Amino acid sequence: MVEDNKLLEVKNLTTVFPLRRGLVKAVDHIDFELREGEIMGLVGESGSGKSVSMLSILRLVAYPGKTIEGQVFFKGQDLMQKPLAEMRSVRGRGIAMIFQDPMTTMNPVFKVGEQVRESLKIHRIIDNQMGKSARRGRKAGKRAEKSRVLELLDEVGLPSPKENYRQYPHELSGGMQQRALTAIALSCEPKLLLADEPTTALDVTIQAQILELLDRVTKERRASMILVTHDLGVAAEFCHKIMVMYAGKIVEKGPTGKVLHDPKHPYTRGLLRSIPLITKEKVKIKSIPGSVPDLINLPHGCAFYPRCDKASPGCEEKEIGLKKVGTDHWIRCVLNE
Amino acid sequence: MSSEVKAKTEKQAKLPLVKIEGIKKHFIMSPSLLARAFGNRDIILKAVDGVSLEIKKDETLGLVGESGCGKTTLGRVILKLYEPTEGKIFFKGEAINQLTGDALMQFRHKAQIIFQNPYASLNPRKTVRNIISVPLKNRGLMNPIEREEEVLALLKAVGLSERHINSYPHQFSGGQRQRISIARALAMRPKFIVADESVSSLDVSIQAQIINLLEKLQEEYRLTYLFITHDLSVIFYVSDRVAVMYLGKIVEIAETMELFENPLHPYTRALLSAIPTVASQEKKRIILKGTVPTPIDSTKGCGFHTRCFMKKGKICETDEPVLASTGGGHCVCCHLFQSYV
Repeated sequence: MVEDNKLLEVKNLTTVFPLRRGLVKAVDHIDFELREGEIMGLVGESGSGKSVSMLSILRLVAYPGKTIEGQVFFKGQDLMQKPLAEMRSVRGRGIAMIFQDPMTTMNPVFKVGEQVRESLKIHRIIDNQMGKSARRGRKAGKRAEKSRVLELLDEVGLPSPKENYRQYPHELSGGMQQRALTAIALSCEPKLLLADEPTTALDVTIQAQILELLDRVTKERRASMILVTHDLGVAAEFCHKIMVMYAGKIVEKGPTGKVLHDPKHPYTRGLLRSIPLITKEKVKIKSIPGSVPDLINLPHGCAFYPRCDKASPGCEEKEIGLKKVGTDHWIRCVLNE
Repeated sequence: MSSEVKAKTEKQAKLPLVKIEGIKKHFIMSPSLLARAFGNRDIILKAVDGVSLEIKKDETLGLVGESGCGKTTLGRVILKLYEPTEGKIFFKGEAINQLTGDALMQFRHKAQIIFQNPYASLNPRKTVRNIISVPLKNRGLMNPIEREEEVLALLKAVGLSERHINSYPHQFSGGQRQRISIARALAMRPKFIVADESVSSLDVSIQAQIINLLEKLQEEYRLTYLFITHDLSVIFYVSDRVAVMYLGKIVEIAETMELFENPLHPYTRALLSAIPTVASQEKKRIILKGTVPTPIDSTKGCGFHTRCFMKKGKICETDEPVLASTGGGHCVCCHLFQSYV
């Protein structure tokens, strides 16, 4: 394997929330790697630890949450060991995040354009490009930044960049806000985009627009992306590989085709069976009984055990590791031991 | 049963359970005093703009559309939770527009709603017993022991256990809360239920549970559903017929299979092509430009012409198409198919 091809490598990442009721292991020893230009789908139900894993990579988990273990190698450097100041230059510039809800992510009292310009300003992108010798004072810098913002707004497909620059977030529709957020994320040419449910709040036709946009910009820039979603359909059409999470653990990971068309883990199978498919004949959907377990005091063995249709007595006793079931295809289940 | 009554019930059986004719719901937004001084007039938001449809007994009609297309407003108008600006609503052949007082209460017994957000639609300070008992009292079940039994039966019907009876809504997960909402709606022994995005906020595995529950209850209680959602896969699964709404109007209505296999309206085609699916089939995605125009001072002609990729010509901008049948109960509202009239 070519080592430098790896853009991101996450090892044993564990994030916990010590609450009064007990310890919540929101992210429990997850490992994965991402190559350049690759898009990975991170799938799971609410509360499975998808968003917290993304925040942990950027070290943005809020108190009382704490990443207690693990390494995140980005371009070969361990982000967990970096001083905070250096971490800041990675956020936005090396790895950018697109958050779930565009309506609450943007600051309502600043103009959209200014919010896009902010990250250019902080990372001194334009200053650096112009070089110290060519520095023509703050005004020129600002003008250059502004024209870059207009380019970005145009690139993400906002209808009239000049006007949109001057507008406030509430004046934009949800889809347009999501485009503006994408512009912020793209402003510093990051190599990795973390998109946390970027289309969940949007309608299907707008969702299609945004997904097409993300697909285009990652291809153009040869950037990688982790797409967090609970919609297996979105993941299927869009990602090269898929990682399924349940109760903070990875239960299955592998190439999209294998995970979705030949799923091995009972949870993945259950998820796929519970989506209504639009086919010539109605296929009866089967639900997974019960609901996601309380993350406090999880059983020692498989967390899916109480809901599993293939459960056997051995499941709840011992800890189960990830097992290889095919090329790049891993599952966490006793079935394949 | 006397022959007269029998004839009446037969007649009723043939009638659609719910029928609406030319329903319009316009919201008037008055500008501020200052703005009015500058000559601004009332702004009219046409949430529902001329909708006629029928819902047959025991069927599930799916109503699908993007946010802001007026589907929720339509659902509420049908239940008379909003007063329609124009148009008539018939329930079992009876006009319900003018109902007030007791007669309206009687109608409410027969028609219930399950709301979208199970976190906001249950009173956080009432126990499950309280929440489900209120409609039972309204139904006239005054004996507390009988009422308690009925509450327990309802909880069982929706898949909750007896021990939940003294719990408060916050102690439940989203899916369980939605079950409580369903029990509350069922308490009235309704014939007709509007399910307004009832599964949209739930995770897929839970969503499947609730969909299966709603289908089971439909058989047991012989319910008729108006199923409102933006999720096309769910609509496909639950509905017998589907109506597609855009900008306050029905643009296409057909049997579910017919609509999904042979969509006619450009909007329906785009909508169907936009569904991300796990099934590995090649398809061409139609990506619509722009967003839904505002329903305020809506444009002339067809509401979809600003985003349409199959525009016929000038006529789309000037003339409003009408909902016309293309045979087999398939109706479409588009100039491309107006020749069928």
